[in-house]
Amino acid sequence: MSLSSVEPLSFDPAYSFEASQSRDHSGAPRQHSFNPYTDNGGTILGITGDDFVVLAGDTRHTAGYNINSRTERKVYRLGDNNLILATVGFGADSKDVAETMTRAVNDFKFNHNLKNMTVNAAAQYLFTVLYGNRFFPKYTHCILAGLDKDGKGRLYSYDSVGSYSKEGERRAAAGAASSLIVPFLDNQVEFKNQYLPASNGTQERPVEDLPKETVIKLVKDAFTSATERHIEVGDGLQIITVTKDGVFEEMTELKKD
Amino acid sequence: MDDLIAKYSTPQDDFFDEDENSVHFQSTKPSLDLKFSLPPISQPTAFLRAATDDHANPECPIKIAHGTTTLAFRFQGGIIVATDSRATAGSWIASQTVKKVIEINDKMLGTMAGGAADCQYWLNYLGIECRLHELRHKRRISVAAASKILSNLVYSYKGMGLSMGTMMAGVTALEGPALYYIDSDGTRLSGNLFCVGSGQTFAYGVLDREYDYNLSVEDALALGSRSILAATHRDAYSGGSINLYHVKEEGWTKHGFTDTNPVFWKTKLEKGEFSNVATDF
Repeated sequence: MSLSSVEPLSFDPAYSFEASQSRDHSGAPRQHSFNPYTDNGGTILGITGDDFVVLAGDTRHTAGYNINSRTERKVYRLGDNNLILATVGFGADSKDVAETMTRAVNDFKFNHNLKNMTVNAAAQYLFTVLYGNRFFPKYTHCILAGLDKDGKGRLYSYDSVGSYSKEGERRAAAGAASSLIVPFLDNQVEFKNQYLPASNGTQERPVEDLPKETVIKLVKDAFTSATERHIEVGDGLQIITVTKDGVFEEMTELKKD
Repeated sequence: MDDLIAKYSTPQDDFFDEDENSVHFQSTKPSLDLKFSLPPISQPTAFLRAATDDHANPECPIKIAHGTTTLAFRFQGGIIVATDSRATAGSWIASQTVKKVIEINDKMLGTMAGGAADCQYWLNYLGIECRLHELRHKRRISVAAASKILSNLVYSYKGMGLSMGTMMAGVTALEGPALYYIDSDGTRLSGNLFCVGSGQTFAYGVLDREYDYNLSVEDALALGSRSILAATHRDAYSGGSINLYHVKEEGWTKHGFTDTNPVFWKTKLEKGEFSNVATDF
C-alpha cells in the first residue's frame, strides 16, 4: 500500500483543547483558533525528609488516548549541584522551563566564582520565569527541590504562572493523577486525620520527618496505585533522591497497559 | 496624639509634600525592566481569557486559583488583618495552607484575593518600590502613596486579565492607621473596613454587626477571627486556617495560623453559637 492512500490520522479525542474542527468543504466561513497547548499526561510527586528530598515522575507521555512514549523522563537535574526540578503538563512547555532553569543555574555558577545557586534563590528565579510568561502561560506545573545551606531538604511547588510558598512544603504532587495522590500524601506524610490511639480521637498524631526508606516506599505505592486507576500514568517510574552524598536516580517499572 | 489624629481623620491622597510629588510623576511607568512574553496573535487578551478564565470558559486548560475570604479593619489600636487559607481550582482544593497575607515589609501588609501569582508578584514588586522610596527619601513611604503605585500599575495592565483584589494596611506617623482597597479593575478606595473575596458577604455580616472603632485589641482580634470563621462556614470556596495579623505603628505582629475546625467546635460548644449545626445525629 502506498503511503498516500493511508487515511489521515484521526485526532478525534480532544487532547489539544480545541473545539472539534469541522471538516466540511462547503465554503462556509470557518473559525480558526489558536491552540498552543496539549496535555501530555503523567504525574510528578515530591516528599522531603530532614536531610534529603525525593522527586519522582512516571515516564508515560500521552496525547489523548495515544501513548507517544513509555520512556520520557520528567525529573531533571539542574546542572552539577543538588537542585532537581520535576515538570508536568504540556511536554514542550515543561521541557522549555527545565532548560531555562538549567541554563540559569549554570550561568549563575560561572558568574559567581563557581558558587552554586541556593535552592531558595532557584525557587524565586523559577517564580520570575513562570510569571514572565503571565500573558502567554507555560502550561506546566513545577516542583523544585534541593538541599538548603544547612543541608535540610527543601521542596517548592508552583502553579502555571509561578505562585509558590516561600516556606516550602513537606510534600507535593501535580499532574494527571494529583487528585488521586494528594489525599494519600495528606494522610501518610502530613498524618492528616490520624489521631493518637489512646486519645479517643481528640489528639492529632504529631507530624514527624520520615526516614528515606519509608518515603521511597510511599512514592512507589502512590505510583502503582495511580497507574491502576489513571490511564495517563504508568510504564516507568523515575525517582531522584538528593542527600548530602549526592544525587541518585532510580528507575523502576510500572504496569504498561 | 497619633491616636487622636487617627480617630478624627481618614487617610487623604493629597498630603504629599513637594518631594513625594516629584517622585510620583517619575514612576508613572514601571521602573523595573519588565519583559513579558505575549502570544504571537492579534488578540492576546482574547486568547488569555479562553485559556485561563474559568468564569468565561469552564473548560479552560489553565486553572488559576480563586476563592477566598479576606478582611481588614481600622480601629483605635491599629488595623486587624485576617484571612482564610484555602486555594481552589474549580471544585478541587489545591491547598489548605496558603499564606494570603503578604508581608510587603516589616511595617506594611497586603492581602491576597484572586490570582495567587498576580498578588505575589506585584506585591513583591511593590515591596521593591517601597524600599527604593526609603533609600531616596530617607523615610518610609505612606500607605496612600504605596497603594497608588499598585493601583496605577494594575490600571496600566487593564484588560490583560490580571485578577487581584487586595487590601493594604499600614500605620505611619503621617496618616495614623491607613487602610486601602485596590483591585485589578483599577479601583482604589480608602476606608475603615473591607472584606474581599467569595466569602466577603458572610464576613461583612458578622463584622458590621460587632464593629466599633473603640474596640479593645483583644476584642478586635477575636472579631477578625470570628468573621473569617463565619465565612469559612458558609462559603465552600473558603476554609483551611485563620491567619491573623495586627498592624501597629511599630510594625505588624502575627497572631497565629489556626486550623478552623477546632476553632469552630470551641465556638459552638463553649459559646453556644452555630446552633444551626446539630451535634446529635
